Amino acid sequence: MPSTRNGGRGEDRKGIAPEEAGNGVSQLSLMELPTAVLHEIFFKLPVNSIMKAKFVCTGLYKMLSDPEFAVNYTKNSPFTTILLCPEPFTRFGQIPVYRLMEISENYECFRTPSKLQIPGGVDAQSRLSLQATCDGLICFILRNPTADITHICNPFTGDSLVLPQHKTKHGERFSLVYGLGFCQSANKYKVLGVTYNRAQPAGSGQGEILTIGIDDRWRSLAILEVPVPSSLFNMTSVNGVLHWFLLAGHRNTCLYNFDLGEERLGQTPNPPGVVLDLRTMRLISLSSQLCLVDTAESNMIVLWKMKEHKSGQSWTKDIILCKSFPADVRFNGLMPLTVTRNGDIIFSYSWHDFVVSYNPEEKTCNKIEVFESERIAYTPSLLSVKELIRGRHWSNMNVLSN
Amino acid sequence: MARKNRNPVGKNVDPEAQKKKTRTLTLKSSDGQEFSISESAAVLSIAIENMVEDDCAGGVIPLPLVDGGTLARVITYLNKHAEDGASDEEKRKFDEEFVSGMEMGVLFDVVLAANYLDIRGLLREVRRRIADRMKNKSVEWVRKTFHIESDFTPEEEEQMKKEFAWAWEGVDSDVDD
Repeated sequence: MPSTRNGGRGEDRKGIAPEEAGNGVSQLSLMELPTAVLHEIFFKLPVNSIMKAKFVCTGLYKMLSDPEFAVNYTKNSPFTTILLCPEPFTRFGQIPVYRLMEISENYECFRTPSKLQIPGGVDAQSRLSLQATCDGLICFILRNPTADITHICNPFTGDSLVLPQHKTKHGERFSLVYGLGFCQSANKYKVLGVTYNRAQPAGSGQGEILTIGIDDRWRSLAILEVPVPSSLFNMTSVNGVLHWFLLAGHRNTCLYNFDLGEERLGQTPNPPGVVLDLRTMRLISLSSQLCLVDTAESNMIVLWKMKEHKSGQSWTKDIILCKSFPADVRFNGLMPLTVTRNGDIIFSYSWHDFVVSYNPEEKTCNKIEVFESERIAYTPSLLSVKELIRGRHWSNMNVLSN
Repeated sequence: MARKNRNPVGKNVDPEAQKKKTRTLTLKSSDGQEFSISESAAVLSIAIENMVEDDCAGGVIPLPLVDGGTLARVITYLNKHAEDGASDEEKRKFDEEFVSGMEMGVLFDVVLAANYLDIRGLLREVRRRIADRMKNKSVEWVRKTFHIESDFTPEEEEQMKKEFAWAWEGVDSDVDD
């Protein structure tokens, strides 16, 4: 990391006027603008530009690496962001390159490649399996015939943390799935890991929990019902609660949740009158609400949103009708990903090289080119893993003095 | 986007507002140029409003941190936003055109003046324009346009180019738009 020298010339000057230049234009350096003005300018820029600006001089490097700036940047950013993965299963011996896609209010797109650093690299017998994301962090397993190693990393700052080994058994018959979420009460991120027998994926497994940055070993939980392994993301994290589908037998799927604060398993009531069907349904987090997406009908998408978790009464139903979509956008295969600041819904479109931004009020669509087949809702962070795992509120505490 | 003026001219029939429209103030720039402006336009600047309220104005308001060229531009902005019957849409279009032709040096002068005079709408507009110009530009472009010299060591620079090669590739032309 570059040392900080006297790059920030006059960083803290407050509104000092340009040199007397008559009616001519002064040749001010960007660094001479007041810090508050500079921050506001950078809040309007995508992570892509922020990262480039860091390489301009040590003054900008220092300002843009400051944790307080990073926290406020995330709060103020007008961009809608998606993580793009080249393919659902990464190849043996390769570190995949994810891409951050940032979409502006007028649909300009910025793409930034990830910089995953894996200590020791990835050997030809290992491959990486993405498990979960939360606040810029991603959790992945480096699968190897001898041992699975779990990492938490920020793919855009590049730093990572290796989680402790599990106490539970390993080996070819056993698999792990993870959920990652932020626990408000503890102000920490927690990981739920479930080890299960691969021969009985719908059975039960052994649950273990880890508070990142606090626990140095996994804590055992009672027997847990194991989520149905799916191609991508087994558990959906919403406000500190993990949610997943459980296939408990033929035509008997139910919803489970795990509260990371209370560290307790629960069953979520189905939306009224709904029989869960894994072939047409997905669980996603939409505007910080759990959302069950039902695409069974060919002429509509049903969004069941849950205001408060665990309460069956709080499901509300939204319907997006096929006919409200422009005729040139085929309706089948659309799956909501995320919601923009102005309320547009971004849909992923399986088997097509684009995502669709849909404005529900004006019923208009914009296509945005995307070549990667896997698209995940994701909020980037300029904070390193080390800074992130201190919690979300630490910036209010007196840690900025360094 | 709807803009909130502190003094929504046109809707206001209170006599104090009427007086503000007819009363003029004189603003004096750092290089001694004087500009007349209606009070209703001048007080869109919170800093000027405070000076007027504190009655420290005495007819002429000296603005020692703003040069004449910049002050003239700021006054154009204030007059438009205080104009009777100018719709939000009209003002939005004006704002866009107002900043679109400005060179970077001018944008810097105006952003400093807007910050000092506390003109929120203008400040927001200029900040956005500066940010827009930086999108998709190379590291070199930012250095050149913003008059910044790199103070990284050649080794650090080499290392960054290696680790973040993408930041030096696929950027818009360095020729300014």
